Amino acid sequence: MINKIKGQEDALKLLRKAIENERISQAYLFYGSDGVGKFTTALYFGMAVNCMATNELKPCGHCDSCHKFLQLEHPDFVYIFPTPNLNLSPEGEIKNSDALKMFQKYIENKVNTPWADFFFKDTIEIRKESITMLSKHFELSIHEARYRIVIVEDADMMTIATANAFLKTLEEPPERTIIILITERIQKLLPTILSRTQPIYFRPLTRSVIEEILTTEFEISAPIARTASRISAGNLKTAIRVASDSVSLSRNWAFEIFALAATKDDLGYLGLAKAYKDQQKKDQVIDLLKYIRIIASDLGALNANFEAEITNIDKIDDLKAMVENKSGIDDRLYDFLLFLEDLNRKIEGNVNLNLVMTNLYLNCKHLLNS
Amino acid sequence: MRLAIEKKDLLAHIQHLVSIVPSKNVTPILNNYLIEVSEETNMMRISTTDLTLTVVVEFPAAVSEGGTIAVSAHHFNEIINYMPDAVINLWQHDDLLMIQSGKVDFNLLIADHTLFPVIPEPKINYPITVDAALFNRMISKTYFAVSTDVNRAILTGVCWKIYPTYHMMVATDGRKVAEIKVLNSSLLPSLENNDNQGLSIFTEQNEVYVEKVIPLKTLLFLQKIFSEDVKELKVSMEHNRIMFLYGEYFVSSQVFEHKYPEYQKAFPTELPNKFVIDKESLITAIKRVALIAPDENFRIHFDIDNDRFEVNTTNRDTGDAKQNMDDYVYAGTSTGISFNYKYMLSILEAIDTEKVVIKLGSSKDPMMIYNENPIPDQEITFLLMPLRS
Repeated sequence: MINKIKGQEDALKLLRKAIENERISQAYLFYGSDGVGKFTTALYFGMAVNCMATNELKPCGHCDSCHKFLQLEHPDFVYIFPTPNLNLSPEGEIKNSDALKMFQKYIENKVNTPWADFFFKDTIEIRKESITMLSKHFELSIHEARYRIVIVEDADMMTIATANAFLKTLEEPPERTIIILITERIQKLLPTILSRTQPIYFRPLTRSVIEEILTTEFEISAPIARTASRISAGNLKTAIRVASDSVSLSRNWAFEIFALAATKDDLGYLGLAKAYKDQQKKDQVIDLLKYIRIIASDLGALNANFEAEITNIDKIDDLKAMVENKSGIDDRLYDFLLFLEDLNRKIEGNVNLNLVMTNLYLNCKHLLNS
Repeated sequence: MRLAIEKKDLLAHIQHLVSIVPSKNVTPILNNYLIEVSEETNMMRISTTDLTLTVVVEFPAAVSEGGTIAVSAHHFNEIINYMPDAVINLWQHDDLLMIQSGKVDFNLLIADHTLFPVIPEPKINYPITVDAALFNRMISKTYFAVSTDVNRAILTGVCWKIYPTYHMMVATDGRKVAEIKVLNSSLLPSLENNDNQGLSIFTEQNEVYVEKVIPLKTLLFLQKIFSEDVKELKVSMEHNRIMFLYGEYFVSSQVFEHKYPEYQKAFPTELPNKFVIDKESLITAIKRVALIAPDENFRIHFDIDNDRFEVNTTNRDTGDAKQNMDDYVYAGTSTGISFNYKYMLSILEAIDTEKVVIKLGSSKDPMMIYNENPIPDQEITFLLMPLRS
């Protein structure tokens, strides 16, 4: 099962050594950007130290203990994450049925589709009530596990008061208890918390790892997987989201712009602009720029005859048609990419999107036609 | 699984059980009963746990097919409660529990029983035996004094201390203490306990006493299942849990692992003043005067000397009240003391005799409250800290 975690060999090696040498730290800090496997690793690590299987490959994922962990219902497992105000009692009861429903949805999502982020409606933070529940857990002895496992997700989202309350439990955790803090923003943690944990860095996933996961685990076709892996910047969550939009609007849009630019069909572009008027929103355009950038780099690769580097393999014929008999693309490409960067900044600065789009089209045209 | 059982038999066993099932818990499996039935023994076993307290009850049923399921406890109880008074048939069909009696049919969704926390075998090794009625009495003399402050978890339990020749129960929240000592050690190693080393709970030879701080919830549950018919309560202890076997019930509870504070330090060595008064009339007077006592500290005041005993209170927002008491015996000098009347009433309720003995010193000394005549072989002591004036 542990082999399902890919691209984090260093972190896994550290943890494996800790188990083998029986030098498991009381508190770990898993840090690194979103969507690289921090939570999964934390959970599997907790399962591994408690797994009841006799073979070497722990966690097995099948024994009673692993089963309970995978459903996040192990009695010796405490999972803390930023929540809206739930009025959680120290015994772990949520009296308000709406809040309970929301909580259950979050857990359900975490169990079944951990790569999809769940958004609460209200503002979220790690609340004192969660820490009080944790302290209550610590008063009691362990129910059935070898090690009690505590996972605190987004540990940076604690208020000062919560952090101080948590510090007390972190200073003197009961024996046979492993606390794993997870954060994307290590610099936001209190130094007092940092100094009491063993930090483990999780690197962004490489493109090949993301492609492999997408094609093997999610049965996504190679070209889309490749596109998604490039857009994701090492974040598997983004990659899955991109790849699972079966017909990617932004991708089609980008190709249409290039097709019109290649044939200098200005009138056609005006028609296109009209057709996509509703999609012309800030986030959507930023998304579009990502695809434009990938297509541009494909064109460059094609021009230099690096066919293996091409992302949009399914559209290779269109791409070939665009670069055919066009000299000097590679010279203009550098300026074009700089222009895209600049455009990105301008969109963030709320420049008129109509102007942005027109500018983008004209630059595409310039790129493809000397 | 498939079984049949009389409604009243089933209900009798689950009616107390439901009170300890957590509801709306963030670990949803805890909201369920684990029901195991065995064809060989013809027994039905229902387990429930909130991780602190685990209760298993086992009783006969007509089982035609064994099996294990987990099912929502609150629903199960309510359904059984509303069933006609007849034989109830229960069987499992895929992921449903069918409950049928006469013309009534319920199909109840079942939960994944493999998620249920591990339940210890309902067996007790090397038990000691306690008189159940006595144990029940010890709980009722102490339970009201426990603290509700979650930050000092140890005080939310009742401490049971066992010495080789006597044992005692005590509870305190820092403002009041309730203590009951039982002098003739009625704790007997049970007959099945063959080693001759006396009480088996003394695991290490040089141990002077054993102390277990038991959560209040556990003790209140034991009180609930107490019945005159079952005389013996079997107890066994491990380092972090205590187990009881009482009739058909097996109760396993976590204990608090810290050391109980040395509350005896609060007991004053000598108090110069002492009065004896009828318990009921004192309770009535306190309740009467308390009608206008301040809401923030429930303060009531005793003013007492040889020819006057006044119960009074002053409330800046509402006014003041006083009552002069008759028929009391007083020995000592003139003194006065303020206290929280709710605490005083809870202590007076626990007094057995018609008259109550209260010893007091100055306004800063705690009050000690006793029965007028000691109960044979028992020493019952209550302490109430004064409010600062």
